[in-house]
Parts: sequence; C-alpha cells; structure tokens
Amino acid sequence: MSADAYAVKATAGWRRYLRWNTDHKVIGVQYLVTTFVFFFIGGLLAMLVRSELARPGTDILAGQQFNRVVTNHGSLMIFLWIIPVFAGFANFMLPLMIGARDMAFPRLNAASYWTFLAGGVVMVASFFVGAAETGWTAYVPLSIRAPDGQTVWAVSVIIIGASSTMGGINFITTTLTMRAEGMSFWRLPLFVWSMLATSLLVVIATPVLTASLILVALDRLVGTAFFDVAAGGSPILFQNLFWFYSHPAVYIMILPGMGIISEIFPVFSRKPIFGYKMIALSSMAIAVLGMTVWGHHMFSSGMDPRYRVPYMVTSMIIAVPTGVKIFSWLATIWDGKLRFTTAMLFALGFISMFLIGGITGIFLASIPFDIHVHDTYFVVAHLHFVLFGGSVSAAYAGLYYWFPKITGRMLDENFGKGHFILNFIGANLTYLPMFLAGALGMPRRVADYAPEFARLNQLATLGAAILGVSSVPMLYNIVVSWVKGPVAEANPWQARTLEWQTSSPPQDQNFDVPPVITHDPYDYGVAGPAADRPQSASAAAD
Amino acid sequence: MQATNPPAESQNARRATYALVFVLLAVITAVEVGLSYLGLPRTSLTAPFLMLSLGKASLVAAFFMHLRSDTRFYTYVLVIPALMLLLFALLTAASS
Amino acid sequence: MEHAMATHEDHFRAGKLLGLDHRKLGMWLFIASEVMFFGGLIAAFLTFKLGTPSTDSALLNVAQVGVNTFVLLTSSFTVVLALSAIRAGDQRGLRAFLGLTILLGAAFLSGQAFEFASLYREGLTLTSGVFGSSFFTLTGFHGLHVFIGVVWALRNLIKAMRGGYRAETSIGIELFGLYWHFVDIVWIVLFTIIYLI
Repeated sequence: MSADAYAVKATAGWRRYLRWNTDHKVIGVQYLVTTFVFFFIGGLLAMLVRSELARPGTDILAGQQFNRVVTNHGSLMIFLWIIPVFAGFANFMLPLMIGARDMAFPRLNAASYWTFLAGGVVMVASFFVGAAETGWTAYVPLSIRAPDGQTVWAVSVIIIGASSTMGGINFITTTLTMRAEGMSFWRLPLFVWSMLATSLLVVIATPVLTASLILVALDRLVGTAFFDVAAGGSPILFQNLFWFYSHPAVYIMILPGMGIISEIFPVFSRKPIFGYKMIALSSMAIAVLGMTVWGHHMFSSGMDPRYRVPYMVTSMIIAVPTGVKIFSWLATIWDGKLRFTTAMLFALGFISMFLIGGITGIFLASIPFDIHVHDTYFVVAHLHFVLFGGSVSAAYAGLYYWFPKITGRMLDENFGKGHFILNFIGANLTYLPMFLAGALGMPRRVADYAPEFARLNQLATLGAAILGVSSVPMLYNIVVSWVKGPVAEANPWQARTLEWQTSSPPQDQNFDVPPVITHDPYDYGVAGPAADRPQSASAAAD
Repeated sequence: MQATNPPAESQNARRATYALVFVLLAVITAVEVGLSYLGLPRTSLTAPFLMLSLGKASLVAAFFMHLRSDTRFYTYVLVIPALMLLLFALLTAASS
Repeated sequence: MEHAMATHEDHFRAGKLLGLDHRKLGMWLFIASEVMFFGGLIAAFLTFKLGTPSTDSALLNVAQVGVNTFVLLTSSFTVVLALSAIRAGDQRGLRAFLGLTILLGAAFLSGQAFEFASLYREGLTLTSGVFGSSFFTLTGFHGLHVFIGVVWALRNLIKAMRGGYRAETSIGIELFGLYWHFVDIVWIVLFTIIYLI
C-alpha cells in the first residue's frame, strides 16, 4: 500500500524536478531525464549523418554543414549523454548502495547538475551562431580558424567539465566517508567501485581538457601564440593536452557501464559474481593505466616516433584487466539460473558488442595497423562498438534494471524486448560494415566518398534507421510506464544490494535508521543461512 | 573531524614550528635568488633549484597544510596528481 | 545494537574511522584537480621553454620577483597563524592574521601588476610570441587564484568580525588555509621554472 502512495507522490511532485533541490534522488532524475533528451538530439544528428552518407555525393548536407553535424553529434553524445548519464545513475544509486542518506555535499551536487544543464544549453546554443565544425576533437589550427560557434563550443565544454569535476569530488568523498556500518570496501557493490575509479579519472584528467580549451579560446579571442606555428606554437601540444583527458574519458564512459553489468549478471543468474575482488581491482587498474595511453591517438601526428612504442605497450596492457572482467562475467553467468529480463538481455548484448569493440581496440594499439586505419571508418566502428554497443547497452540495462526503484513503476517487458532486438540488430548492421569500409580506406568525417564504399554505407544507413526506430518502443515505454505503469514493489528483482531494501522510490533520507551491513552483495543461490538474504539484515524491506 | 582543540601551550609549540618553517622558506628563497645572480651556467643550476623548490613546497605542504600530522591519505591525494603532472608535463614538453 | 536517531556526525563515521574529514577530503580533491589544471598550463610553458628558446626570459627581474615570492610565503605564515589563533580561541589573533594575509596577498598582486606593466613596456606581452603567451597565461591564472583567495579571506575576516568562528567551528579557516597554501605552492613551482631555471 505504501508503495502505491509513493508512486502517486512521485508523479504529483514532478515540479520539484524543475527547481533547485539538494536531494540526490531528485538530482539523479534531473540528470537522467536531461541526458536522455541530449541523447535524442545527438541521435537525430546521427540520423542526419547517415542520411547524407546513404549515397555517395553530397546530397543533403554540404561540407561545412556536414562537419558541424558530425562535430556536434560526437560532442553531445560524449559530453552531454554518456558521461553524465552514468553520473545520473550514480547520483541516485550510490548513496543508497552504501547505506547513506545523501551525498557528502548535497549543495555541490545540485550545483553540478545546474552547471551541467547550463553547459548543455550553451553547447546547443552554439548551433545557432554557426556550430563547431572541427570534429569533437577540435584540433588546432583548424579550431583556431573556425567561425565563432567554435568558441561557444569550447566554453560549453569548459562549463560541462567543471560540472563533471564537482561530481567526481562528491562521489569519491561520499564513498570514502559515508559508508554505513559494516560496509567495508570489500562489501561495496561493484557499481560503487566503478564510480570510484571513474571519479578518480574525472578529477585528475578533466582539468587538463579545461586548460587545453582555455588556450584555444585565448588564441581565438586575444591572439596568443600557443598554436600559431608561425610564431613558434605547437599543434601537437594541443593534441597532448586534449588526449590526456580524452583518452581517460573513454574509461569514464565505460567503467560505470561495466559496474552496472556487474550488478545485473549476479541478480539474473542467481549466482555470486565471479572474481569480485579482481573485478574491483581491475576497475582501478584500468583507471590508472588509462592515464598512460593517450599518445596512441597521436601515432600519425608527427610527434617524435620514438614515443610511439611505449604507448603501444601500455595500450595493449590495458586489455588485461578488461579481459579479466569479461572472463569474470562469463564465469558468473555460466551454469546460472538465467532470467532473460530486458536488463539481462542488454547486459548480454553488452558482452558481445563490447568484445568486438575491445578487441579491435587492441588492433588499433598496434602502431603499423593504426597508421593504416587512422582517421578511417575502422576507428568509427571501433568507437561505436565500445561506446554504443558497450556503454549505451549498459545504460539501457541500468534503465531497465533501476527504473522500478527510481519511479516506483515497472517498465513493460515486451516493449523492452522489442527495443533490445531492434537495438541489437540495428547496432551490428550499422557498425560492422564500417570496419570493412575503414580497412578498405574510407576516411571518417567526410560527406562524400568513393563509389566503391556505397554498398557498405547503405547497410550502415539501414542499420541506423533500425536504431532510430528502436528508440520508439523505448520512449513510449518510459513515458507511459512512468505515468501509469504497474506499481513496483521494493525489490522486484529479489536483489541483495541496499538500494533494493528501500521502497520504490525510496523515502526521504532513504533509510529509517542507518542500515548495518552484515553480508556480501552478491551471494545469490549460496546455500545455508546466508541464502538470498539482503546485504543488511537490519534494513527494512518494504 | 573537528580539529582537537589543543591547549594554548601546544599551540605555542606549533607556532614555533611554523616560525621555523617560515624562516627556512625565507632563507631558501634568498639562497635561490642569490644563486641566480652568481652568473653560473643555467644548466648546472637546474638540479639545485629543483631540489630547493621541492624542499620549499614540501615544507609548506607538511607543516602549513598539516600533512605531517593528518592522515597519510591526504598526502597521497596531493602527491599522486603531482607526480602525474610531472610525468605529463615532461612527456608533453618533450614530444610537442 | 541500538539504532539511535542518527545525528549529523554519524553520517560520516566511515570517514572518521579512516581519519578523514569529508570537508577536508573534498578540499584536497579539489586541490588535486587544480594541480592538474596548472599542470596543463605548465606543460604548455615547458613545451615552449624547452622547444622554442627565447631571449625574452632575460627581461625577467629575479630579485624583484624574489621579493614578491617572499611576500606570498609570508602570507602563508600569517594564514597558519590565523588558524592557530582561532584554534586557541583567540578572536583578535584570527582577525589580525587574516587582515595581514589580505594585505600581503594584495601586495603580491600589486607586485605582479607592476611586473606585468614593466614587461609590457619592454615589449613582452600576451601576444608577443610563445614565451609571452605562456608566461602571462600561467602567471595570470595564478594571480587569478590569489585574487580569489584574497576575496575569500576578506569574506572570512568579515565573518570573524561578526564572531562567526569559534575554536570548535574553525574548519572554514582550515579549508581556506589549504587553498591558500596550495596557491603558494603553485607559486613556488612557477618561480622556479619561470624565473630561476
């Protein structure tokens, strides 16, 4: 009965999502809704790109327009969707998972959301003053000479970076200082470990991006000489500064997703996670190693060739902790009592697609191979397999898993499965042909291409159309279910982690009394007194 | 964690330490300025200057910022990014 | 196990067990991010210092800036004395040392302004080349951080004059101090790599 009351309250209180509110659950929803909106805008831009590329020749978008669409597709997806959507999930779930009543700095938390929104608005506003057109990587000297929208874009990224850093500081401090009694580090859910690793990267790497864009802005606005070759400036300096952040950024984009996968597999296999400590430590290893590989984006840049081999080595080593995770997940679901909920399907889809993306990443780490396919569609395929096949699948999995907890309603499983099938077919059809196109020489970021790539591009565009269609059941499901879906119980998945020991959605301040943690998070199907008990024996289930 | 409220006597001991650190900082700065005016070749002074400035920074961090008396964790939060910075700045300067 | 009504302090007990105050940890993490921000600017400066040697650095006046460095170091001393004062309950000491810090910070900024003006007169400007660009950007952002610190100190002084700090509630002064000392450390590094080496 009280779950019903909460469901009613959630919809009645929708106005609080439009105002400054320091409750981490409100801020989490603000982030999630806002990022999904940006996701759809970025998706529309992608549809535009694929429409143009359906046939050779520039039919819909002329060169500069195309460049702007491509640039902002990438920028939106990276800065306004994938990075912050996981901040949204973390905002909602992290305090619950550790048994805390909120984040360590609730006002800083609210500020980080509104800063994020402001940055997003500025980035979208740049469309109207002549958008950025250099690709999201904004290399100099092109980004110095590009029209005014480029400056607005740079400013927006600086603002978004500030928001991200605020969040990172908050997540680390919360995790270290606000764990409930008994929540030792080795009892933390793996999503929390992943957010810890992610936040370390955010705090260390983001400021360097800020510095790089400040230098770009200074060159553009006041005529400094940082990247003016005639005055002694260095374009490679920009690439070093840019990629020092932007490579760790890809781990910022995948680690939380991997954390979500680690949450989902044990629940829907009714088995403990395999290799809990190794997965936790691998997350930290990926974060640390991830800060040493940035030069692999610069193999063809003209930088001193002697620096290339160390980057190749570190880039290949990072496959090891990643592989540890994949094998641990496979061992988790092996011989399990699998329940193929939509969340589980997306988690399984994640494994296959991320694997393709990850392995092609090892190809790209090899200097000679990279020189051959640098700036071709091979790279586009790789990045979309890891980021769309990987991160977005994980975000979808998180959506289907946690929607009941966040909204107090259940999503429809049939629409969910429809979404999954269309998404899986669409993604593979879109991105697999791109590997071949790139290996055969089709460059990226071009509006026109040689006729020999036409068939592959048609396939990719068809796949993209399917992806576009796949968003319909998802959107319909989210909206209708949130308003009038079946009321969710506290623990519809019979999971053990603490967020499921609160009502759906959780009450104000999350817990009546601070929970005392007595068990590990993933002891599913373990025979004996600990069988399927929640993490906290004392936390009241609904 | 609120700082324990130490009685006035131990505050005096702390102040004496602060004063000593301050004097050291001033002396090292004077030495640095002096060295730079001696007309020695710049390259031979690089290592001494780096050591001296590392010394000053460590004094400020250890005593003024209380890293010596606080949990070691804060020291890691400062030192690890600082090492990252060193690695990154040198690699970038060399390869750009 | 009693489940008494959780007081504010209880929420951070995990931190306390690790010896961490959440506000200090937050400030240290912020400082870590600022280390990396200056790292980016320092990387740019060093790129040009090592890659594009210029005679412009001969225009720098080490003795003058050495005095300014001493001023900033002294301000770190006054900050820690301010904290020590309020920890002992000495309100007058807190106000006096905060005031001194503000004066010294302002003096440092004046010294910077003076130096910038004289360099500009000699043709070294933000846009005169890679040395000028990287020099003024790096020292300029540092100066901006000092300025923000002075404003923060002023706000603390006003709060202190209204009796807003007691020995048990002086964490705000400690946090400010961490920021100020960090800005001082950045200057120590900058003084070395820009002026000395």
